Amino acid sequence: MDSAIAVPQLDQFVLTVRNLASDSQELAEYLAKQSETLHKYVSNLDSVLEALDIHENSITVLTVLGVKATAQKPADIPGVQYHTAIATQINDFVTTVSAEELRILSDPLANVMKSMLTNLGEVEKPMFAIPIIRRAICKLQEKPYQLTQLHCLLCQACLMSNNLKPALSILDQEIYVLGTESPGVVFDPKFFLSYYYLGGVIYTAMKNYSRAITFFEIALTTLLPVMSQIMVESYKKYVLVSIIHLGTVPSLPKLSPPLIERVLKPVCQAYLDIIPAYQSGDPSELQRTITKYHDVYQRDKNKGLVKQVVKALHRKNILKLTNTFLNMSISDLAQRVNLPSTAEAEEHLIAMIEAGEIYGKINRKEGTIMFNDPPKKFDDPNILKKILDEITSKISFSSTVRMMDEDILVNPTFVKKISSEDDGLSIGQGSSKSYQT
Amino acid sequence: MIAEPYDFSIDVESLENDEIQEGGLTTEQYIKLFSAYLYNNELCAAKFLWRRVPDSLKSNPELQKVWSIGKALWTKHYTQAYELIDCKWSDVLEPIMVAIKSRIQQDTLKFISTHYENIQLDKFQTFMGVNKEQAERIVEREGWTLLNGYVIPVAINEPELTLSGSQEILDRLVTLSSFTSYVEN
Repeated sequence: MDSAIAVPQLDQFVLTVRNLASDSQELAEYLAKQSETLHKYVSNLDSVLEALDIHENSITVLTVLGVKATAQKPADIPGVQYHTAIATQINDFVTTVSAEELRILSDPLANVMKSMLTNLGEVEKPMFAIPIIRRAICKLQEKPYQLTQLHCLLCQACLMSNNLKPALSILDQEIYVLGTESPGVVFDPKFFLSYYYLGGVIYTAMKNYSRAITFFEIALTTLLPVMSQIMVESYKKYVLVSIIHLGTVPSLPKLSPPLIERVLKPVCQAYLDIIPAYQSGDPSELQRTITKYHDVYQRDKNKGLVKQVVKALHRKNILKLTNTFLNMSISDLAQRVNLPSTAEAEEHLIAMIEAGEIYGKINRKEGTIMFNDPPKKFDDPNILKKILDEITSKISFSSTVRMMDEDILVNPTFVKKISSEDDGLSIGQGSSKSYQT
Repeated sequence: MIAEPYDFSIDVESLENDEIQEGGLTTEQYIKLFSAYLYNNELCAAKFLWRRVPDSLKSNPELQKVWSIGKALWTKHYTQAYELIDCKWSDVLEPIMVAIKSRIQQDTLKFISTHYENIQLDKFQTFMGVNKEQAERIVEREGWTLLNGYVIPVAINEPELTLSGSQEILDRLVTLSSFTSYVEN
């Protein structure tokens, strides 16, 4: 291929950005102005990329890649080939550029990668994006407990490609820091909300319900001046998964009640109604509610979860019986919880025993089940290991918090703010006073 | 009857990585990965694997068969799962299928032993996917009793790990006590 730049405008562009490389302010302004030109000559941009050095012109390279990812695909190249080629170029950029530069570019990088993922999704190759995004996350992170702008994209890529396992190793890591560690840099809440919502969806799909509930709860209780649609969707799933897993919907921690009243109630009626229907313990009542809101659940794509709520009700009713009876016949049990057959009742019982929800022994000869207390063994080495692991993780968490606290204390912006301001924000008030003394 | 445990651990990880790096796998590799998920009882992972297998490969009869096993296990229709496993497999898959079957049998056996007071022999056969003679042999091997057509199992206990005597446990206890003394002082 001819590497000389055929278009004079692009030639000029390369010269200018090379000269401006040291002046980031001016460069940014110039790049913003050149967007139209770049879009116009999109098919010639590869020559620009070749002429630029990734280390010296990282912002420009990323901008050009962004233009390529968002521009219309030329008609003569097949989509798969075109978009995977761009993804490979983005991958090369991520691999070559230094970690420090990449961190400065994290916001535009997230945008470029988002377009890349959308394009790859359109040509049904979203899995191609997973290793690229994962590599970029590793490079952006200084510490594993840092949330980057790309976390939510990884979740999205995994969901799009029906391959959830690659996201789990990232999701299992607790997050303590948003974006860069330097305070004062604003981390867009949309990355945070999407990450926790999508993470919750992934955990739900992998049937790790307790983690899913935690993730939805975090998305739901994020303090924002306005309610986001993500929070509404999180609430819906939060209600259903909580019922399935816990048998009840825990009250939300300290979320200002007027906000729930005003925003959530009118849009989540179908989900608020399912709670009392479930708690009534009457399967027909629950079924009526579900039939009534069938369309809503279908539209929200929560039908599968709603179906599991019905199963959960049977389990709850069986669980109630275990508190009353020590020994009961399975046919009697089937009747009491309104199950059509003994066989189905036994299936539920087996599933519950397998899940460790109840402890019992089935006696086939007499057709009965005997409920036992859970075997409690605390002198088990595994328990000891669990306690130690828990303590170790708490200790490391507490030292992380202390470290972050110290960082804030010596941060010039913070010091200036608390010394100039007597009545701080309602949240910061207590702490800022104590810091002053 | 119960075969040697089959080691899948290396298999799964490299297959998963290959899939992500290459953007897909060959039919043989998909079948292998799917069987490995079945062996490890990772049914969620198996379900999503089937969803992402390209449509063009889904018509492969062996892939269809492993998927049917997965479906049967997901819906807990063990009889059906055993029937499907007992088909004729290619030489590569044969040992894997034997391993899957014996894994399910071992899990079922343990479950029956702890959660059934007694169970009809024919029901036991269905649960285990074996014929009458095999069932009787299992009962004998496990030291259980067969009385009037009912199997009376003896609970299989996990090998007891004793607290004393193990250096590792001792170390852990020392760590725990140092935590406690740190917190208290």
